[in-house]
Amino acid sequence: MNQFRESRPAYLPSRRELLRFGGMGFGSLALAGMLDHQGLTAPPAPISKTVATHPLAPRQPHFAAKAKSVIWLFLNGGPSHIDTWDYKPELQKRDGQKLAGADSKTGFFTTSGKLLKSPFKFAQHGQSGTWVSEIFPNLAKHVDQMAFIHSCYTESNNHSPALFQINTGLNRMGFPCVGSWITYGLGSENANMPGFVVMTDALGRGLPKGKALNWGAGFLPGVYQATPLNNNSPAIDNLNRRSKQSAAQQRRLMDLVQASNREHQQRYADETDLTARIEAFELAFRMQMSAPGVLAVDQETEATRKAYGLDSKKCAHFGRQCLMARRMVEQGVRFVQIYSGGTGDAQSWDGHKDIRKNHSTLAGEVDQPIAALLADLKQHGLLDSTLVICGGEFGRTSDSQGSRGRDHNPNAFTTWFAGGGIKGGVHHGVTDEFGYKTIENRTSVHDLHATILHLLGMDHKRLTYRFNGRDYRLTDVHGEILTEIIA
Amino acid sequence: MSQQSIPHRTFLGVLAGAIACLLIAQLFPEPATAADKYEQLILADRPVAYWRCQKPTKQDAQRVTANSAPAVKPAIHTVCRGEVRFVDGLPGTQGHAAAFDGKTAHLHMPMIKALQLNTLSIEFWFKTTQKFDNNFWPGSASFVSIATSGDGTSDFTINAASTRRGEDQGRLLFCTGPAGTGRDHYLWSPAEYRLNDGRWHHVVATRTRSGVKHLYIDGRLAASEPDEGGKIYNDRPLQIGGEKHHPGGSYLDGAMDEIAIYPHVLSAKRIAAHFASVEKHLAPRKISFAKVQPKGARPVRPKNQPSPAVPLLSEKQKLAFFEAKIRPALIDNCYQCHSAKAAIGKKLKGSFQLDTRAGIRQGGETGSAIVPGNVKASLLISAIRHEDLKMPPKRRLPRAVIDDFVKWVEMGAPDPRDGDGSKSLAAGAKSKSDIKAGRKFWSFQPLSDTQPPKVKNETWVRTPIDRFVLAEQENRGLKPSAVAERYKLVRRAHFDLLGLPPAPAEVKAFVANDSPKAYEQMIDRLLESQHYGERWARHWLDLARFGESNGFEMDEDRGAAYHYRDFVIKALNQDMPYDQFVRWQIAGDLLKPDDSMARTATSFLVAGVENIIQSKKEFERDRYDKLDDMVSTLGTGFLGLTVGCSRCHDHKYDPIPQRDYYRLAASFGKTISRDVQIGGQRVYTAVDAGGDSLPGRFALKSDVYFLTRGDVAAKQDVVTQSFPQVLMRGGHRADRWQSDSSDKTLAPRAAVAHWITDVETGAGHLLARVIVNRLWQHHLGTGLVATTSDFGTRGQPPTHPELLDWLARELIRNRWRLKPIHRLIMTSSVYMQTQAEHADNRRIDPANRFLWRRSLQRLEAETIRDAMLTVAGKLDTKAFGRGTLDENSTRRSIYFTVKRSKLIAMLQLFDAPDAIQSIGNRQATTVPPQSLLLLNNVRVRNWAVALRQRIERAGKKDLDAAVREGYLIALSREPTDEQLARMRSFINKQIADYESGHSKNEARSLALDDFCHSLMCMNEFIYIE
Repeated sequence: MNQFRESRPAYLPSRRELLRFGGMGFGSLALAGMLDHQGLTAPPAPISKTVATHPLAPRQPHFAAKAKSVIWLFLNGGPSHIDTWDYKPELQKRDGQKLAGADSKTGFFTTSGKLLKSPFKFAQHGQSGTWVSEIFPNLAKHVDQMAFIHSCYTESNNHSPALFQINTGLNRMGFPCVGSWITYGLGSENANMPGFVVMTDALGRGLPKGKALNWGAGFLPGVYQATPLNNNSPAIDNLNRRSKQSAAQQRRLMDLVQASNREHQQRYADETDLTARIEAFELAFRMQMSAPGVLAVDQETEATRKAYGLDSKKCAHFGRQCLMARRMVEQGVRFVQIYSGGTGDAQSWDGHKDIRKNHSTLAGEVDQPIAALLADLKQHGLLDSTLVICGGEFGRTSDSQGSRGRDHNPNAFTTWFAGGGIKGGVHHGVTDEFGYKTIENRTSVHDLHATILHLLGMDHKRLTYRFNGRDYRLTDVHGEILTEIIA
Repeated sequence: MSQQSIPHRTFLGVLAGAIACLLIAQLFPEPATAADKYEQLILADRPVAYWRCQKPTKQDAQRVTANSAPAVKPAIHTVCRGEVRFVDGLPGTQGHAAAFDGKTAHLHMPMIKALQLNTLSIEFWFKTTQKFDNNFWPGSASFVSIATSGDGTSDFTINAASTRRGEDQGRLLFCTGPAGTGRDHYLWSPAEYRLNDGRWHHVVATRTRSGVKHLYIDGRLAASEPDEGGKIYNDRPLQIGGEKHHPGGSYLDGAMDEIAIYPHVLSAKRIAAHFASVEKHLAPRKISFAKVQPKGARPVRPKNQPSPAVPLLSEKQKLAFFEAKIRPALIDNCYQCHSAKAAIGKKLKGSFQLDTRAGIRQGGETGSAIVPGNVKASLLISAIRHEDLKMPPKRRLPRAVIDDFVKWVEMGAPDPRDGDGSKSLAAGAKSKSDIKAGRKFWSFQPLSDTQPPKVKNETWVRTPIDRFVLAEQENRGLKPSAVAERYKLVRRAHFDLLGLPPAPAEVKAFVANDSPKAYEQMIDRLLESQHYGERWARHWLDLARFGESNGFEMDEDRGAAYHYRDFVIKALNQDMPYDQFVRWQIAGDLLKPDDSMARTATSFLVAGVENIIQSKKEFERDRYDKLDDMVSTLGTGFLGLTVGCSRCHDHKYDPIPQRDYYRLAASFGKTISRDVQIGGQRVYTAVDAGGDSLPGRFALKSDVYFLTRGDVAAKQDVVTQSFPQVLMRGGHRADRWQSDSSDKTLAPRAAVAHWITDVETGAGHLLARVIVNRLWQHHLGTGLVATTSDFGTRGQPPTHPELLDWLARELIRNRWRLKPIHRLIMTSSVYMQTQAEHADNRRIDPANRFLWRRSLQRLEAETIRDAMLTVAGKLDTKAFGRGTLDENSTRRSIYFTVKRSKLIAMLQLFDAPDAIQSIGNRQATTVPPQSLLLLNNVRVRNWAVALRQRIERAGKKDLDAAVREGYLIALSREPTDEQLARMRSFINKQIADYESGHSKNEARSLALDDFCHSLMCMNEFIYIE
């Protein structure tokens, strides 16, 4: 076990001791090790103690991992579990009847207390006979690869606190998100790409509520926060060389800087930060060269692009992001999160007014791309090492808001996992006959997080970080691993 | 009525001067014509007032607008204010309608006895297309209102409203604030009714004294929900057609007609009839009506059907129900008169204590209070239903709460409370001996009084600091390093104190100055610069988690929050004593209410995030989060104490019991954020709410409860103010600090300010230790205590404890002025050392903990940017005032607005904090995106170009001279011959290359741009020796 987690010093050391990029003699061999695509079963790369202090150097997990990358498809706004994956025949039968035990504090607004049946038809699919809403015709073909957690609950019925909770474990602002914890724990496997990437709505509908704090590193070093991909060029800030300068001219400038820096470094042999910065310039230069290629979906075959729906008006934007996610995971990016939908109610899965209109539109945007992603990952042999997560920040009420909408429901929602280490076609947890509350195997956000870390080979109780005198964990003081869904 | 989080409330008084025309309404009805069947319908239902909104006649422009039921006396005088126009009336009725302009127009009527109603119906017709774009709900204008300030202060209003900015427009809100409940009840028209469609709509709002509220729209019941019942009238004027409740509110822009108020509840049938008589005259309309079940006083439950909420629950679930529903209700409504605490305070009523299981089952003078499983036999239920015995006596509990008690009795009255109640008061407290032992820890000890030690190498010593440092070195066989070269010292001192590089002239002058006093004089001069405050305020703002927006979902701007940033800069520049600096940030508004700086300083308390989009479910938790933000920031920022760890349990490592946390938190129970007028300017700061409740959409008392596990659903007793016991020395209790020298009682925050700076028996010694350590950290790179915000047992012990205490004593001796401490540190040999290699030293102390040489320090994000602007010659030195989010700004980076959802990308990349929690020790990461920024960012390139132009302006035409000038400006030194040659060669190669596409002059400029660009990318540019 490396000292980064196991026997961390009793306080957060200064950059001098921890956050330097490399040590003395940080040479081409060590660099090669860092850039190496390290298989999960491969022995740890020969990382010397000094080199291991690069904050994004790949690190060994606590135990054998089931997955090494994560793609999180975030259906933002609170997708309705009872209109998607949690079929409730009783709800269909008792449309308009009073919901016994309806609690007016469940939603953010006021609900009617009367049951609203799903406007969608459900049918059974796959070997597992999983009931799927008609809005997911493509995803329905993959249900035998998915593990459904129907009994998720969260603490807040308000978007931004609930978003913070599902992303960081706490419903307050400013804590490190799952992706940050994972890159902190495992580093990244491709130094030419950011280790943790987030993509938001490409149709200009805005960011999820709470914005960048959903993918922030909180008190963890800033290097662990997500790099948001821009929807315009360049995809990564400052990635493009200025047009007036040729590559050779810029390279000469780089060489001058590096020569000056090396000379400077000679005078301060012990100051390893200086070496780290020399390497950072090299890596930046290489990222500038290679990142555009990783993100270039036009390098894919037409058949692949079509499979992701890149020729379809309704889902091309999300399809492109899913395809980029596959390309990045293939190149060793550790964690990719894609948000479906934007800020406003009607522009995200926040179906307050009309669940049919809202959910059929948004499902139409994601159904084909996500299905294609699962198939494509499998075809590339990446599905076994990639954990795919799909869900939102809470569910929606079984009683109506207005005549056709549903309010937020923190007491029940469905999240599904697929891919690395996941048992397909299983259903964990149960909600009541109307899907209003979870009644069996209640699954907290901490439980989801503990399970994600476990699948990546980390013990959620041992992945800690000292801040302002306290050892913080992603799972705070909670978290049970959902062994039932693990293969 | 009050609205959530609206900083200022201006009420009716504002309108007093806005009288445009006077129209006296008359009481007596004009003769009803046969044509006007509608009027007959209304009068048949015996209204107490009825405004027909007729246009004034020519003979008497002062009369008209209303008539009313003849029985009402005295006469109702209704006055038009602003430009009320009279337009075509409601179709099918006689005469006109009153049209309001959305600016100031409205009808105003002094309250009369006959209108003081708790049971009433209010009826009117309206049409409007008005929309609201308020930051927060309700964006609204009122149709009819008698609004007052505060929640639940006996009033009502019916408003045209929107729920959010731009969303959910065209709704209608019937709000009542029953007296004594502390809360307003909002009854909304359903979201799908878009009533701002420019058509005539009919509205009837009814309400009974017991709180049953119905809202009818266009003749049908649209919404129904009870309030808590009670009085809703007051003696404020009645307003029709728009009355501005708050700055975010509006006047009505639309027309109203046929307004009537009845002293009774109109039946649904009559309402339908009123509507129907007009409907036939209106264009057909499409509103789909949902069926609404009236919600009456008693929930209707079909017989023979089990209560829906009493399914088979596990014991755990039952106890959870108690904790979630019953315990908080008991605490809120009953403990005041029926608890161990009440008994101690001799306030116990009816010999009945219900804060224990035994007590509540046994009952009091009137007998057994509950019989588990038997609702009928449970006296408590009968009492809270106000059937015979009435409890609480003054007001009935909300129906939902009563239902909860019924369910609880039905499920067998599960109750985990053991003991006699007095135990809960002490529960969770660490024992006295724990606190006593805790005081022995070094940071809780009084400052030692050590004299600077003797050393062998006297010649190295410049200040007493050097004796402490050198003594440690000599003990370990370490040898200090020599004084750094002068060009390094001038650069170091400028960045340290000002955060800016020295101008070439300053470098040259200092290097050439042989005077032994030159260095000291430079330090003194820098300490007097305005830039000193700008540099060091940034360090403080990190600790204060200073931001200028609320955070969370909307991240609303706090446009008036920048004054706090200016306060910190000014306070540092004028060398305000640090104890005063601290006191003012905790209670400046109370200590110096006439001093604008003092009142601004208190903004510290509310500089953190605040969630103002709150739901019913969690507003109370949000409030405790806000308290936690204040207490935790105060703890880590001022005292280096992780007090926040005790929110949920006793501190695991430090002697801070959970109770101490809540008792300290109680000091801030009334503290709220507000924009207030200070010295003619709007300033975002902290103030105390008046009265016992906090303003806001939800009723909240200012009391602070002890929360088991920090959970608002597990309230224990109300706590009173105190301070962490481990920092109350000399056997004193909280009252030691709760009054001033003349025995005058201090407000709770003033008491905190008193205690925290008290060097005799309070926390003053720790306060001094923590701040001198922070100064040391920024000057030397690492604090004497490396964990600058954790002086507890989990933090690092000091490397030089005697030096730390000596510095703290020096601070106090210098009347808490920081500049003498800066001077002391910076004029010490330990500070002036060079970064030299020394094999023996390195073997003994590789991490340089004992300061045998200088370490390089990377500039912070703001300083990197400010340095680039400075060398480019582009820095705008304008101080103070509103900040900006424009990254093209050329002002110092501290003047960027800190919007939490829109942090400045370049600063973030170099580890600027996210302004959410207090940061004492910034990270300094090194990652490729920083390099990408330096290589490719257009602003960086523009600054490089500006540097080249600056060099040209200085007349350095010759290539070598240009390179020399560039080095001097950017790196505060001349290049070596080797460097000069390297640069010359580079520039010539680039010129040759660029000449293929550009003119000779352009090629030379581009090549020199590249040279300047390279200077800004160099490690030497951002790592300062």
